[in-house]
Amino acid sequence: MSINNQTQAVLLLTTYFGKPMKDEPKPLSPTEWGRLAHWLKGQKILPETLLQQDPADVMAGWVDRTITPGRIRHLLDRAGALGLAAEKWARAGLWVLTRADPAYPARLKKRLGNDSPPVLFGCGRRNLLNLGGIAIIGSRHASEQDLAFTSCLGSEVARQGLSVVSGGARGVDEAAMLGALEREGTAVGVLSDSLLRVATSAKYRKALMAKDLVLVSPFNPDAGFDVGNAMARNKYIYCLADAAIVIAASKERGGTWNGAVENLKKGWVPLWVKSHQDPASGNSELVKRGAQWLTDTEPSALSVRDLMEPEDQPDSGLPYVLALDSSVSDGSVEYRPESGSVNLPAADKEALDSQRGYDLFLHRLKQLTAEAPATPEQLKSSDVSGAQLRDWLKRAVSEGHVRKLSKPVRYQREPQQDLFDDTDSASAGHGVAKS
Amino acid sequence: MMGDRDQACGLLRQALGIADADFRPGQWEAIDALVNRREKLLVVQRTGWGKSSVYFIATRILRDRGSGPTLIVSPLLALMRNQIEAADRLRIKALTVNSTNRKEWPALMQAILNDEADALLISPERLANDEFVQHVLLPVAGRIGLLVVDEVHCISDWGHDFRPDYRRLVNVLKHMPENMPVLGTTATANNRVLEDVQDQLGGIQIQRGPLMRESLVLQTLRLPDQSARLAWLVEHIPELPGTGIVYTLTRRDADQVADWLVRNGIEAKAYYSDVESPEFPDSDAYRRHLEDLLRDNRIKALVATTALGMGYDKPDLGFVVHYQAPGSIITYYQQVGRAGRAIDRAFGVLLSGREDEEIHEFFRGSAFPGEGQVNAILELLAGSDGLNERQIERSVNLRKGQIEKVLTFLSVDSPSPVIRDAGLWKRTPVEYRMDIEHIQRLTRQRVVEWLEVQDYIDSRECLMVFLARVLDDENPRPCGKCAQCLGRPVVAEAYSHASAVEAARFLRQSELPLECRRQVAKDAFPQYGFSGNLPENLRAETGRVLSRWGDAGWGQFVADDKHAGRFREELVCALAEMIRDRWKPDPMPTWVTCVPSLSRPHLVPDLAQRLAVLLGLPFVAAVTKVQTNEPQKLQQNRFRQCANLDGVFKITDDVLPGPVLLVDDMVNSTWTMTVVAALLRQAGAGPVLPVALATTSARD
Ligand SMILES: [Zn+2]
Repeated sequence: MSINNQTQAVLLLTTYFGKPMKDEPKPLSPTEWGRLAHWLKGQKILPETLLQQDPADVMAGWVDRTITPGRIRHLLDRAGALGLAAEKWARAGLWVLTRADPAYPARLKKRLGNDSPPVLFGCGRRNLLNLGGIAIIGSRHASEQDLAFTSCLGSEVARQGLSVVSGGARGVDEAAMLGALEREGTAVGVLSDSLLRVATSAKYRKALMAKDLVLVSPFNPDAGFDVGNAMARNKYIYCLADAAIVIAASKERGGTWNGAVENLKKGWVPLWVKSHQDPASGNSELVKRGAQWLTDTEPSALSVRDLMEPEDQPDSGLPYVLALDSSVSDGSVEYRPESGSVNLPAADKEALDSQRGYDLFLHRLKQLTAEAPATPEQLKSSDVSGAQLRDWLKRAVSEGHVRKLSKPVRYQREPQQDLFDDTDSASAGHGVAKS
Repeated sequence: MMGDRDQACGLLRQALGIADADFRPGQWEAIDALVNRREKLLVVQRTGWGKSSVYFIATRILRDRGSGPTLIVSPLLALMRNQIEAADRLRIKALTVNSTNRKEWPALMQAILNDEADALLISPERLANDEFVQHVLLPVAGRIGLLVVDEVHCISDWGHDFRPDYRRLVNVLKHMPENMPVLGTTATANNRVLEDVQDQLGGIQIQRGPLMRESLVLQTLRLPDQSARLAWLVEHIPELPGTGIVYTLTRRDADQVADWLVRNGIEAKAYYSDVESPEFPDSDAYRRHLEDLLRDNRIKALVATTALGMGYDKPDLGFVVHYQAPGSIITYYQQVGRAGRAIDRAFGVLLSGREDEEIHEFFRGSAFPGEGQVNAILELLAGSDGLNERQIERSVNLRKGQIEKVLTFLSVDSPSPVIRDAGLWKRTPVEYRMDIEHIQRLTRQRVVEWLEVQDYIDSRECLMVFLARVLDDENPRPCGKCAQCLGRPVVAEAYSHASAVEAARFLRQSELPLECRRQVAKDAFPQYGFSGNLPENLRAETGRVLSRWGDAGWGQFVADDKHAGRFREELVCALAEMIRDRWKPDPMPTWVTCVPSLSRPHLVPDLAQRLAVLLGLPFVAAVTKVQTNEPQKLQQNRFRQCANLDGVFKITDDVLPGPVLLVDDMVNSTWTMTVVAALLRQAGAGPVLPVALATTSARD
């Protein structure tokens, strides 16, 4: 299936399709796109209108120092390049998410707002992006000892039923992710470059096909390594997770250090650092700035759930799995009772599943209330106990997803805070994945 | 504002150089849809309707409004001369990027980036080449203002000539945002093909004009024997008006027919997808030269496979004769429809032979790769981060051509289980199952189409009406000039007995040069120590093969006798005659030897001995086989074929120093001859002259 026209418009405005050329107007940065999107929304203009009508007419009344009508026009004129590039992405089995997609990670939007990437390219199981997990951070060049620790840690996170979130680079990233995947756990890799190459590498292919892994990148899947991109990418790793562990940071330099300091400053997720012999290592400096030591020297002694903020800890619930059914051609999300085949150690699944259960419930709730308010009776499902349903409805109301109406009791969908979320076209999956 | 009808009409007059020209029906409507509404449009109009006027005028208007250049994807290698003239008159600078001008690519890219080009012409093959797209097209694609696709019916599964490059093109078109206007053109498509194209592309408008061609005079004729058809050609082509095309189904037939016509004083040249000539740097350059020769009427006919015709638009083409019947009516219409565009009378004669059926069966059977081949390659790639073709060849027992076919077949799927990236084939994380049912459905459809061609050949009704009906043309009316309308042949069916006898002799003398290998697969000969380029003094000379296995000349006898266990005297005489009277090798051999076999120890030595007697030369069994190996014919690729021969043969002390005739019955990959020749030279023999009864290399 093809990328829908709204996604095409966002891609044209925000993405490089090849190596940047001299004198070529730059695609909009996440913040710039946020600014324009906000204005478009205020004008009740959908982004795809820019493809259907003369952009100059559509943008009449827009004034911005950096986002000029000429720049917009030039970016939109790149339709031929988008067609060629998107054909290749689709062929490789990649998909594209924009902020308007239901599958777009809610944690990114919540934590980064307008700075969240306008577009995510990805491969593998999309809904892992919304399950959070433990970020494991470190450099490409780590000691043997640190790598062994990281690998055990990844494996332990998997055993305890959580996802590993990492950067997909060599060194610590790879050790953490493979540690989890070898244990048949799940992992999220946030790449700063070469999505296409990594997605076709032997080490990750099996996990991608087994739907245990998702690889995403905010950058063109063909883009090579770029220091700026790598730095920009680090914050997405923290923001997709519920807690982060730094294996080793060099003091005052490098991506690991900068990312960790940024996380401390912004307070995205609790930051933990591996205890290190070397007192001069960046790790102790990070603790001085607010990180906490991992007291356990062996990953197996660790209770990873205790690393998260208490409110982020999943409560107990029902075994559900959110599945993208490939037979559903629009790629929309559907409920499916757990079949027992999820690749997690059975004993540890429960906690993870309860978070999934709520996410799923929420998704279904939004669907069922999309057209008109729904009664509790309509929202009932044979798989959810009455008590659970009441709890979740209460939570959904408190989080502002639905409003409770009385006489009779019904739940009405709240207008979306998220831009374009309500273009239920939505569903449309936007994945380039399935034809 | 540019873009209204009057101004566009002004451009048309300018383009044609005709002061009172006006649009043909549909032309302005198409331009209007493209430039004023940025639509996606598919026009079905017969050749000569003037589609290039549409896209050049649209280009001019869009360029004047500040849009980027037009990208034209066409199977033709260059714009036709009349198109270039029209473009020039509209001040449209059109660039062509193809394999013949690789050195100019950077300059051409720069011209586009500098906004100096108005149109860029590329072939569908280029568009299907990942490296080209990544490094040449993508950097300049940011400015494309209009996309034109010629012969757009090729993107349909139901099209007669489904082409992988076009399959890729469909996916590119599917991903084009809606602000990119697209014009697809075709002169041959029935409703089913159009529906398929519409399904695949979605949101594309269709504009249809009448396809009948009034100047065309049609006839069909069954002549089962090749010799009869050759005789007919030689007697009737000179009477046909002007210049034209003779279509054959295979390259080898194209070569053979062209050769025959030339021998009989008719200027003809063979044309197929990788036809080459020593005078031209590569096949593309030579093909352009051949297209020019025909266009300028400097030869009577091109003898061509389907490689010619896609987009070939010669207004005064006088005839299209089919030496063998094409696989579908749509193919036939496309080929015959090139004739008589701007002249009053042109001929379309379809000859049909006995071998047609077998050839089409072969085409159908080999259209798709086997499931085993597909799985072998996918499994191999799954264990790697990516492999190049050479690495794949070393690890799976498949021919290079088979490997390419599998990879092409797989890579047109979207998503595809394989992708070519940075020079390597990689396994993507996409589940794959071969769609056998789909393949069977397409194969059955091709059988139905072939039967329809049989009906055409035997049709008693107006032939033009028959074609028009299959093409879903509205209201076809009898043409009044075809062989069926007239009730008599329009070109005489008769040919002289003398010509037929001569043609039969020609078929029996159509031996082929036998070229052995010069370069061996790396690391394949640890025992013999051959590696890389074989030194000049170990190479075989150019030899001869008497026939093709099973063909209409000697090939059938060879096949029968191999089975029976002894080659008949006629074949031995034919070999001797070929060597003495026609080949006349220089230097002449002074002795004869042969390639030994352990499984059939007498067959070839017997042949070689009898040949030696006829040539008056000594036979020496100087080559022995010291190891059994797997049959060479089971070795599918270069590396396997080489490695299977390492250490297998030994040269005895009986070797003589003079030039030697090296005899074998069958050659396929020529590796055996190559290796034995090298060993003979190493052992002190003089130049080695290889000769064989038949080649079994796959039909091409
Ligand atoms: Zn007729």
